[in-house]
Amino acid sequence: MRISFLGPFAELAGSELELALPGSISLRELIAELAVRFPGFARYAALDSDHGLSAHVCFLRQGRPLKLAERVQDQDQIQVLLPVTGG
Amino acid sequence: MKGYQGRLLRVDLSTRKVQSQDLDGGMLEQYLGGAGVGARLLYDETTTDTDPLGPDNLLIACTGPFTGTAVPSSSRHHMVARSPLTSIFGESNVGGSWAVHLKRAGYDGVAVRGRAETPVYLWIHEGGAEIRDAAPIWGQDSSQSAAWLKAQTADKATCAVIGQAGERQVLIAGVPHVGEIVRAAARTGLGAVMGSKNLKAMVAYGQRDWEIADPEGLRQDVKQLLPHIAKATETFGKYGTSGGIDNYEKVGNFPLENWRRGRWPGAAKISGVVMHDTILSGRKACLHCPIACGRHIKIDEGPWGPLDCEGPEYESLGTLGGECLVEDLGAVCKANQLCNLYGLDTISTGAVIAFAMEAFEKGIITTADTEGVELTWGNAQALVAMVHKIGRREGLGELMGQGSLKMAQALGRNAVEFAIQVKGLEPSAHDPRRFFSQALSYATAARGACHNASWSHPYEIGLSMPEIGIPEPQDPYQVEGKAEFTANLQDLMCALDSLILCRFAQIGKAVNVSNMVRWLSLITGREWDLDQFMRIGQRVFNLKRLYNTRLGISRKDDFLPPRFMTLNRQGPDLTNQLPPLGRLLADYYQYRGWDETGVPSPEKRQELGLGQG
Repeated sequence: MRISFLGPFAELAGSELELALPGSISLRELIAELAVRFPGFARYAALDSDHGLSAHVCFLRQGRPLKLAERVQDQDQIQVLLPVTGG
Repeated sequence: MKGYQGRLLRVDLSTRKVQSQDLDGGMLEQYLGGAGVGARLLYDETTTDTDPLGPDNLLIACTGPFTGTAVPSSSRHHMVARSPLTSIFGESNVGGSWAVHLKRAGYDGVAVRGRAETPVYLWIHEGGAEIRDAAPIWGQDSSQSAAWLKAQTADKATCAVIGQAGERQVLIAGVPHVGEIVRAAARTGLGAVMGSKNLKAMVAYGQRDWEIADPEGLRQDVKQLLPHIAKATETFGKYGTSGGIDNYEKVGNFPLENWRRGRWPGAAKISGVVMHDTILSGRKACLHCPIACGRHIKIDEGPWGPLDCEGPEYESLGTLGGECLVEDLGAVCKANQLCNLYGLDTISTGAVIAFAMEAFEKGIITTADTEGVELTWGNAQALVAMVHKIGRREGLGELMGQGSLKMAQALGRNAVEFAIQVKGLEPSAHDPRRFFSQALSYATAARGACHNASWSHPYEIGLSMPEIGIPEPQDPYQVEGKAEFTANLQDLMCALDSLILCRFAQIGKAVNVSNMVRWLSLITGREWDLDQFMRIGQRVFNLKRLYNTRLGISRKDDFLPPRFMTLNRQGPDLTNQLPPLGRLLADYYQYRGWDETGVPSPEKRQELGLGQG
């Protein structure tokens, strides 16, 4: 799996990560894995008080927003970015 | 209804009459304030014959019930007039502090018509309003003028003041607002409307209070939410509106080379992260806003220094930078500052320069037209030179200042095909091939290609609003349900613009529509529910549409430029698709209750209380 960290997140986790996955995992599990690898990124990716996706970050697969329960696989390309830019 | 001063300041510059008019309570219940009241007044008090640059045009600046209260991110007002750029509904929403000062001076809004014989400014204070001589500052930029105006009135006043571009009636001139922070009502040429009236500025300051139904309840409610807002907007505040420019470039939302290129490494050099790490000298906030997304930058030396001023926002970096392929952040900062001083809309200015660069590349214009300026992609010197020319209406700047559409029509030779605009307004820096709601909103927004009319693309990435039928972010390329999704967000934004509340309060789901409805009830003392609130938004959106259809706007005008319909940008990782606008519009008209030509049906008008228009 190729994960691209965009914008400010590149400073916290590097711009790209190649991750080998044995099978599929949920986005929730992927976030937990990333939090362990990149402690600086963890506070932005932590789930909110309603156990939903953090307000600071969103995850796109092939340009489409991922939900926490969705499964991601080894061949996926994931982009991690700020939810809002612009005015 | 509480929450208002209850007065509209009426000014006729031709007769030099200034009057206070009681605001009609029924109108406030139907339209709240801001964009709603502005649209109602413009619809009722102008005709199809009104010349946008004539004395009969009505220039309105209106606050809302949230203005000046404990509600965060609400120091805003909405300006409305018939646009000289597009000849249809013109509007611009602006933050800062002017709105709060106007309301504290004792007025919820001001409506100006007529034309002064000589340059004047309006001084609005608790004792009333005065029309004063502005001859000493006619010809000066917005910053110089504001300094003089404050010396003549009050140090703490905020000045809605045009620069030389507005005075010269450049059609892409906006209205800078200079107080502790500089903000601009930039879009649709409202600066030219002020210039046409010989109205250099509207200066406001006051301390008069007004009644709020439950101020303690409001304070407590807001207090509970403030930590959440601060947390949710932490990154946005730190890096500003442009913090994710390289995000947007990589996902295909950032405009490049007049909207035809797919990827560009230069984006990473002009992002808010780079600005933060290099030239940022401080953050700036509109009055009482906890987000502080505004930038202050300092460049001491080099070709663009010294600069010690407001930094560019995302849209300005997108148009002056990305669209022109200028990767020199200092040059973009310089161009942005010149726009603030001349009083130019950065979006339209950057877009028309990008259009001119493509015309130069195609040989439609040459150095003979540009007085020697090599108008090539990425040429930072040329970017800055052309801003000067537009601001001064000099040389080719005369034509460029009329906006991309009029310039293209004047140039001929199929130039209209690459003039990127809708209804005469250049788009902001969001690609409709990346977010289909953006395509639909550009096509149907009252003022033309406006992303703020729906502010929907964040809801196709990471935001949700279950209360209005968006339980989770919607697939950006999903066609089914896109009409309803976009229309509901357009209605919500019209309601926000009538309250008035900054869109950024939605970031990180910090403030939701239930908060807004509750705060409206606590302020006005009248119980509101979600349906009533959204119906106000729907009423305002439809009234703006009726203003435009009265002027002949119809399906034929709800288009996207050919480039958005036929050129799918290519590049690594891009997923952009061409929007199926015909299907989207058909669904949209049906959901809106508009006929096949895009006119609100009699039944829809009746339902919204717009029977007479």
